[in-house]
Amino acid sequence: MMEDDILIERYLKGTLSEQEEIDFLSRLNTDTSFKEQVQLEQQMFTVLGDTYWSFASNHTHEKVEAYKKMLESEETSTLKSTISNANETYKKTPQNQSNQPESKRSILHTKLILRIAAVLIIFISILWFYSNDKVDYKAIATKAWNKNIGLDFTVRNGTSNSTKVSLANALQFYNNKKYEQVIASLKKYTTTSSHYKDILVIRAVTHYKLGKTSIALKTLDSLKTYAPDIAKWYKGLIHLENNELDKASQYIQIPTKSNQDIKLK
Amino acid sequence: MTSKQSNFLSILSKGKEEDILVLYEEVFPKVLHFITTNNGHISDAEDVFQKALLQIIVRYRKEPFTIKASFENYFFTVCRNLWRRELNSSKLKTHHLETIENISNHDDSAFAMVEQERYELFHEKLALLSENCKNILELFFKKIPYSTIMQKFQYNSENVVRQRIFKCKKRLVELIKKDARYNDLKDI
Repeated sequence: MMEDDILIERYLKGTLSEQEEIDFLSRLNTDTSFKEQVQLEQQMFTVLGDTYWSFASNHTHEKVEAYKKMLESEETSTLKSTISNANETYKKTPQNQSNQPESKRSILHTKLILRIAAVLIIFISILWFYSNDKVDYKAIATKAWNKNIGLDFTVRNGTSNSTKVSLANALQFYNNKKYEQVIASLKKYTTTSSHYKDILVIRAVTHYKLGKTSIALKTLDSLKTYAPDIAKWYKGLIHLENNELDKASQYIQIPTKSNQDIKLK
Repeated sequence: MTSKQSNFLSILSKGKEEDILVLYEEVFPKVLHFITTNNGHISDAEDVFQKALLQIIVRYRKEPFTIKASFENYFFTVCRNLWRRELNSSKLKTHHLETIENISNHDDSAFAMVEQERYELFHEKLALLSENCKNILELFFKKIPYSTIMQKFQYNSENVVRQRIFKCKKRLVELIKKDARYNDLKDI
């Protein structure tokens, strides 16, 4: 049905209105064939689109279990060692080594001089480069925020429940910069709620967007137990945006060039 | 021995170091070039290469499969997908990835395998469509606006583009669903 097709496309592109999205998510819970259609469409966008984003999440699926069992086996352990040895052997072959032994002292001397010269040239080039390449921390932080790390819960598979619906709604509020509504809509959830990790992530980033930096950082402290990497990531970004480079560098690798991306430490 | 041999996958699955080294000699430089020109380091290339090898051999040992393209191209695609997966991973790995012997997260490796299987299924079916359908859908899944697709293919209106995409996608969905692998992979 073309109407459904358009609806799913709008959902995946995030252009449904608030009410349309609520109706959409509610239909997902009740209409199995519609759910399958959405799932397949989502997978096609992911696999055939530009960005390949991993979203498998069913740990207990028969196929996943079978692979895990094979990966844990003694046979695979031997294979890992063989692959690892092959990697070492390959690196040690003369043409793949950076330092090859030389027999003649004169050649060694010439090489040494050339290397020192090369190091000096690189050093001077780096100094020149950095003096000309001022890193725009704001731009790289914005790029990192736009990755929306940890806010991908609506695209993960699995059974939908009321918490997932609330999270999806909260995410839509967040995307529409209705930050107060994000906090209000998730107020009832506590540590015993399902998907509490996701709730903490969106609460933390929303508090920060509302200018409540200290609450955001405290929320990220709570998140550490559930998702330490995501907590570190956002702490790093918050400190970076506040020009606290020393603090930020405790959590993230701050790029030294404008064309590099922030990485987790 | 060369990776161009038709039975190379079967030879490789025996897990002998000398065969693995053949692959290193023939394909690693290409993988290294791809990863180091896409925000990666030498250590990332080594890691991806080892993970891809492990993935392919484990998959083959579980259920032997055939490759339609050259093994070299196939292996490179697996490496490329693993790297894209790594770059996009919400696990936010640093450049200092674990060595293969220390990989403890079997869940993640198993997911990478089923995702590669899904990638192969979808691409195989997409290749069966007409050139026009294939080209339009490739743009559609990259979220290129209808207006751009309309201009590129010289359609009269965005509505015509929408109709065309609907038909092509319907055909693609039919082909995917008909394949036995779909049911095996859909709920993962």
